[in-house]
Amino acid sequence: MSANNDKAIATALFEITRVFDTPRERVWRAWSEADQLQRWWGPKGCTIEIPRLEFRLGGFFHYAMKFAGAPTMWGRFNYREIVALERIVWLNSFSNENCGITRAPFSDLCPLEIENTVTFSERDGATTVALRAKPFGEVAAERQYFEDLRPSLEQGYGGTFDQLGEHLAKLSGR
Amino acid sequence: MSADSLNRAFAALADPTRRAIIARLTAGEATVNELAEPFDMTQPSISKHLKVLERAGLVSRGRAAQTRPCRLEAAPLKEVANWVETYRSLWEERFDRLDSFLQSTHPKSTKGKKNVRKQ
Repeated sequence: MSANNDKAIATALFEITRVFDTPRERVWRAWSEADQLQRWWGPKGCTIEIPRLEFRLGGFFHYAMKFAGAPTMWGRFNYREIVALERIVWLNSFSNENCGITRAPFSDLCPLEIENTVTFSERDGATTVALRAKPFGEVAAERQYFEDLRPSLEQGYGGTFDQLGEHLAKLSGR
Repeated sequence: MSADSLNRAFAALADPTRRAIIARLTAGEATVNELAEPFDMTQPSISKHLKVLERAGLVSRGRAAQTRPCRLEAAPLKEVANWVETYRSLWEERFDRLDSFLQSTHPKSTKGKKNVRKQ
């Protein structure tokens, strides 16, 4: 595992990885083109409409989630990094119909924005998609505060991530 | 717990040392000295980390004893765990849909392997 990956794992709490038996270029298209995203982004049971997709740094992906018999919900991405075929970093949040950021319509407990990082790698025609996420906001100041301490902390604690995961899994009754 | 406090909890947990402190405390209460022991860090540095964890409501410290032992606060950790679980199922479903979509448009592909963990 590269140093980059190590660092990423040390700073993200949520990670999920899936291998798709499809070449990377094909998977990348599914993440970067509106008519493709529309087919799978979801969530379950809703129809997606996409008034806006600017797949570039700083651009927005704005989508409507239409559930039968329920008011339309809106969501948006704000792209923060795009490296073709390799990675996408974006802030995901709920929004209004004008692409302005809003709280989740159903709960105040959802973080306002979630920073997602997805990476793509291909081996033997199969593509590994790894997604990491963390709530965004309030984080920067405290992280900066501890940045000075970081060099002395980088080694030897790889296992704690797993331990914490196990502990959290226990708490949630899994 | 508000979204802000959930954010604060995640910010606190973003740091590997603080996660290590939490991991240690899952085994039971500990003093700052005991917490500092496995780290190549001064006690004041550990105390700074503890303050962040305290502000996030993840750790509390005893008042009575002079050593002020640290302990975990289970409720906010559970909120974090709940969020992680919800987000995980959201992505499990989403990856299922992506897999079906890719298969439907890419005839050569076969069933995707689920949840293969790296590392």
